[in-house]
Amino acid sequence: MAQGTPLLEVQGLKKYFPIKRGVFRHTVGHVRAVDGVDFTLRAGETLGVVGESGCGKSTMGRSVLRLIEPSAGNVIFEGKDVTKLSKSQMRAMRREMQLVFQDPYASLNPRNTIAQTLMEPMQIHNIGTRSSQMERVRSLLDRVGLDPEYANRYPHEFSGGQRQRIGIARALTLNPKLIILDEPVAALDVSVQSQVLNLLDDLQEDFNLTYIFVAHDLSVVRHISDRIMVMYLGNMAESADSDELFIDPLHPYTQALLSAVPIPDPDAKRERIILQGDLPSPANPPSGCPFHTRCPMAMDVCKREKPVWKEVKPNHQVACHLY
Amino acid sequence: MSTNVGAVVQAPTKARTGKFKKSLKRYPLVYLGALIIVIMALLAILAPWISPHSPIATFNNALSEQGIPVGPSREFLLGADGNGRDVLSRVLWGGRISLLIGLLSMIINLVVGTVLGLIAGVFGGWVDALVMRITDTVLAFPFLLFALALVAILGSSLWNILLTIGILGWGVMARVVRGQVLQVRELEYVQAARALGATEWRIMFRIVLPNVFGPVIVLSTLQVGANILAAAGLSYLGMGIQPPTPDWGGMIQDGLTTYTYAPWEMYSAGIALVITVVGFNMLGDGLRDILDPQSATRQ
Amino acid sequence: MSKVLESTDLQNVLEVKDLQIEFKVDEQYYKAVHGVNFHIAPGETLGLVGESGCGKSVTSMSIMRLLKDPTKVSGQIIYQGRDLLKLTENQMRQVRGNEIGMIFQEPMTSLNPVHKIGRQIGETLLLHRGMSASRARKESIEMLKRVGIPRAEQIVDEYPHQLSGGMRQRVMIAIAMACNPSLLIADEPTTALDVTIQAQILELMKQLAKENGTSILLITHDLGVVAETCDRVAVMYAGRIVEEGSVRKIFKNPQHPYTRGLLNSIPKLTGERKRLEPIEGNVPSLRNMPDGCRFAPRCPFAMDKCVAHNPELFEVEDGHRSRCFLQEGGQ
Repeated sequence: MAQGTPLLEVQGLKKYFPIKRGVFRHTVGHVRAVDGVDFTLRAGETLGVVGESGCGKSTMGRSVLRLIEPSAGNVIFEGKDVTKLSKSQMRAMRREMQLVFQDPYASLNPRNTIAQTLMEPMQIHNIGTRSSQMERVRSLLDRVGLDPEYANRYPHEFSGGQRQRIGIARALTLNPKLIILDEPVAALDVSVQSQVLNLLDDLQEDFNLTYIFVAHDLSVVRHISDRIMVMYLGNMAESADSDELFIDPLHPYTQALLSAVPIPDPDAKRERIILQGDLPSPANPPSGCPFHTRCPMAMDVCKREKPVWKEVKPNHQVACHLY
Repeated sequence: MSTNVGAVVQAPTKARTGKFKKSLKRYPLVYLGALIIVIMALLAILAPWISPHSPIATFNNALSEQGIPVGPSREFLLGADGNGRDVLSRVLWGGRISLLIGLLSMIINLVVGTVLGLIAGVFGGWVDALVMRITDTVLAFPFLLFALALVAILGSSLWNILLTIGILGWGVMARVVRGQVLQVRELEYVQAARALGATEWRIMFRIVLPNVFGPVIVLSTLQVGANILAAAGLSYLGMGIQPPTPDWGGMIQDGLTTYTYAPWEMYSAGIALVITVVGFNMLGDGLRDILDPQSATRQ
Repeated sequence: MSKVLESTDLQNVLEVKDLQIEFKVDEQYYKAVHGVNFHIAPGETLGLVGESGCGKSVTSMSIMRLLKDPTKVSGQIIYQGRDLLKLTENQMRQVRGNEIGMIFQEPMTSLNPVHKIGRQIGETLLLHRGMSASRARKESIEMLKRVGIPRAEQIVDEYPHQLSGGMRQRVMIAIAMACNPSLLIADEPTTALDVTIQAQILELMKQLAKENGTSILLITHDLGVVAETCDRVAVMYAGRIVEEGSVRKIFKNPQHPYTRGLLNSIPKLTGERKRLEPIEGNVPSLRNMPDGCRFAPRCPFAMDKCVAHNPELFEVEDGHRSRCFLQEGGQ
C-alpha cells in the first residue's frame, strides 16, 4: 500500500506550553504536551496515533499543521520545512494539508449554510467563480454521501454523522494531499461510526490521500491504519505496522492498553493487565521513562534514564529499557 | 452574508402569522417592551403637535390666588407645576430630551465599548492588558459622582450631558465584547477556518463580529434605560438640563418642592420615566432570551 | 400500592412494566420511551444498550424519578414490591441514594465542587442512616478505601477538583454505594474515562456488586463493556427494547437485525481487517418516528409488514426475545 518517497517527515517535534502565574504573568514552568516526536509518512499511507487523554496526540496533530506553533522540530512536507514558512506562505500551504475535527457540532458555523461552509475554502484561496464553486459543493456533497439538495440547509438540520460528512467534505474542498483526522468518529453513534470509517477508506483510495488518524479507540485505529504510533505523556512509546502491533506489542504500556479494551465477545478469555494509578501531569513528568510510575515491569534504570527510541524488530520501534 | 447561494427561505409565508403568534406566546416580554418603547417614542416625537400647550409657557389660570398649582382639570389634564406650566405638555416634551439623551449616549457607549473590546480581544497581550485596566478604572469610578464633576467642569448643556454619560458608560460593553471575542476565537469552527488558511481579518469580520452582535444588541437596549435614568439623576441633582427646558429628572426634582400640596408633577414625570426604563429593560431581557443560544427557552 | 403483586415481582429487585415516557417539545408531546418492560434479579447485572436518543438514559432517570415536568411518565416501576411512580416525593427521597444508588457519566460535573469529598459521601449517611458526623466521617474514609482510593484519610478533606477523572468516578461510586443499596444504576459510568481507567472502574464495580450482592443496571453504548460486565442485555432502539437475553445469547446468537448490525459494524481488535458493514441511514429523531417497526427504514430485511405493523417481542429461545417479524413463531 505504501510506496514512494515520503510525503511528510516529522523530526523532533516538541510543543511546550508555558504555565504563567502572578500579576506579571511570568512563566513558572512548562507543560510538555509533545516532547519529541519523529515519524515519516509516505503518500497514501495512514498513520494511527493512539494514547489516552493528555498524551499529546491532538497537540501533535495540530503542531504538524502549525495551528499550534511547535516549540521545536521540523515538519518537512514534500521537501519543504513547514515550520520555516512565513504566515502567508503557510496560508497557501494549507491547501495541501487539512484537518477534520472531533466534534461535528462545534466545528461547523451554525450561522452558515452548508454551501457557505463548503465554499469558504475556495473563497479564501480565490478559486473559481460562484457558479463553479457551487458546482464543486454539489459534487463534494455527493461524494461524501449527502444529497446535493441539502446545500442550502443549516448544520442544525443534520445528525452527527451527517455533520461529520460535511466536515470531511470541507477538508476535501481544496484537494489536499494530507488530512489530519482528530478523533473523527469519537462523537458518533456506533452504527454511524462504521459508515464514516468506510467513507474515509473510499476517499483515501480515490484521491490517494495520506491520513494521520488521531484516536483513543484502539479497534478503530487498527482498522484504518497502516502504521500505528502509541504515545504516552507526550512521548512516543512504540511504533509498528498495524497488524504487527496488535500481534506482538512490546512496550508494557501498549500491552496494558490492548488488554484494557473491552471486547464484544463474552467468551474472549484473556489476561487483563490493570494499570495502577493515573496519568502523571505533563507539567511535572516523572524522571527517566515517563511510564515507570505505572509500569508493572519497572526497573531501577527506568527511574533514572529515559529509554532511547530503537528498532527492535524490522519496522517496529519502541522506547523501553526491556529491549 | 453571501446571499448568492440561493434563498434559504424554509418557512412558507403562509406560516408567518402562525410563527408570530407562537413567538409572541414564547417571548411576550419582547413584544410588550417594544410596544412600550414605540408608544413612548411616538409621544415624544409628536410632542409639538399633540401637546395641548407650550411646555415653557406659564398660565395665570394655572395657579390659584395663593400661588398653588391647579390639579388635573379639563384644561390642564395632568395639572400644573409650581410655575404655572402645563405638566402634560412638559412630560411629552421632556420625553424628547430623555429619549434623545438615552439613545445618543448609548451610541457613544456602543462605539467606544465595541471598538475597545475588539481591540483588546483581537490583539491580546499587552494591548489587552492596557485596554482592560483602563476599562477597570472607568468602571471603578462611582458613576454619578464622576459625571457630576465632569458636567460641572464642561457646563450642563444637552450635548455635554450625553457626551458625559456616553464617555463614562462603555465599560461593561467593552468587557462583554472582549469576552465574546476571546470565546468565539477558540471555537472549533474558527479553528477550522484558520486551518483552511483564512486570515485573521477574515475571521474577525466573517465569524467573530456576527457573534458579538447578539450580546451587544441586548446590552445596548438595557443601556438606553440606564442612561435615561442617569440623565434624570443628573437633572435631579441640578446638574442636568437647565430650566425652563423640560426633562423628567428635572421635573421630579421640581415637583418635589410642591409635593405636599401638588404631587401631580412629580408623579407624572416619575411614572413616564419608570414606564420607559422598564420598557427598555423588558426588550433587553427578552432579546437576551432569544439571542442567547444557551438560554433554556430555546431548543 | 396495596395491590396484590404477582409472584415474579417479589423475586426481582426491579421490574419495569410498560414504561412510557413523553417529552414536551414546542407544545407537543413526543414519546421517547414506548412500552419498555424489563426486570433485574438480585445480584444480577443488566445492560441497557443503545445509541444516543434510544431512550436508555431517560429510562434510568425515570426509575429515580429525576425527570422534570412537563415530562409524562406512565406504567409501573416496581422496586422491591413498591411502585416507585406512586410514591410521594418524601418517600422517594428515602429510596434515592439509600436503596437505589446512581452513578452518572460525567465525574466532573456530578460532584459538587464547593464541598469536600468526605462531606459528599457523609451526606447520604447522615441523611439516610442518621449517623453522627464523626461516624459518617469514619465511614466515608472506609468507603474511600473500599473503592481503592489511596491516602483515603487525606482525600476526605480534599475538593473534587484536586482529583483526576478516574478518582472522581471512584468517589461517585463510593457515594452511590455508601448506604449499601440493593440496586445501582450506572449511566455510562466509564464513557468519559480512558481505557486503562475504564478497566479499573469496571473491575471495581464488578467486585463491589459481588461482595454486597448489589444488582446493577448498566446503561451504555459500548458493546465491549456489556460483554465484559453484564449477565443479561436489553438492546434498545428508538424508545423500544428490540432484543433481550443473556449476554452469551445476544453476542453469540443475535437475532434482531439491529443487534446483528451493531455487532457487525464495530471494528475488531483481532483477526483479518476487512471492510466494515455499517447500518445504513441514521437514528430517527423523536419528531418523526417511523410507523410500524422503527428499524424498518434501515433494515436490510424489511418486509411490507414491517412498515405497517410494530412487531412484538417474540420468544426465540428461553429468556431470549426479539422484536422482529423474522422471529415470528419461534425459530
